[in-house]
Amino acid sequence: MSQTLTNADAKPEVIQELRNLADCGATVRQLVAVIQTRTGLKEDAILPVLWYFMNAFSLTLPEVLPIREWLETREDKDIDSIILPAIEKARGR
Amino acid sequence: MLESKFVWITPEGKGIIGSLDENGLLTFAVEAGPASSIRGAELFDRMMKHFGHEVRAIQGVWRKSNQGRPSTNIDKVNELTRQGMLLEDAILKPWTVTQAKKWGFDQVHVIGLIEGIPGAYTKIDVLIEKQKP
Repeated sequence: MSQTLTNADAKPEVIQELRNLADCGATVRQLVAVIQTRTGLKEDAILPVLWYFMNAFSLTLPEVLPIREWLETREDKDIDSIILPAIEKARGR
Repeated sequence: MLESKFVWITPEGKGIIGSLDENGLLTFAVEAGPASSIRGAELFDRMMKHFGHEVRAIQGVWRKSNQGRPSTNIDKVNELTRQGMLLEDAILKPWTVTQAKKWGFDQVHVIGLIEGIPGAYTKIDVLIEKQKP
């Protein structure tokens, strides 16, 4: 169980889209692009990206933090190898 | 104690996400700067007020990639160690530690493996605690 105080509720339809895409094998970059498009925020707005990953895939903040350092790089294989297994592992939460 | 989160995100996408685990270990990510409508220090204070005495320690996850975005904490450590300061002294100076000290957390320890060299660290994890009585 968890308790959350937030002023930024994630949109259910975006969460569902992220889950559907992940089920179809989307990469982290593709998932991030969906969040950026749906929220209309600038590409350097990292917190909404982290928050949507936490909500959509039941990941913890420490688990999604690597996205912060990766976002402006091109090291997609590295981030996929960290985040996609974490999403798979968290499915039962 | 339950896992607890504090999330405050501004319309421009700045803000703070704090996560307190069942052991009272606080991890957080903050984004403020010139484009933000709220200062990072105020975000940190709001988060600490929310969690209150449940916080036992603060974990700093400081990373720097070759191509990546600026990272206030590790950039400060690199700046100071490049000038010759010892790592054990340099980790007392970054933004997060300065903010934590205001709340009585003034003991800083490196945890886990460090990556990089003085002036060019890429991975430093720290634990910030209150002085034990």
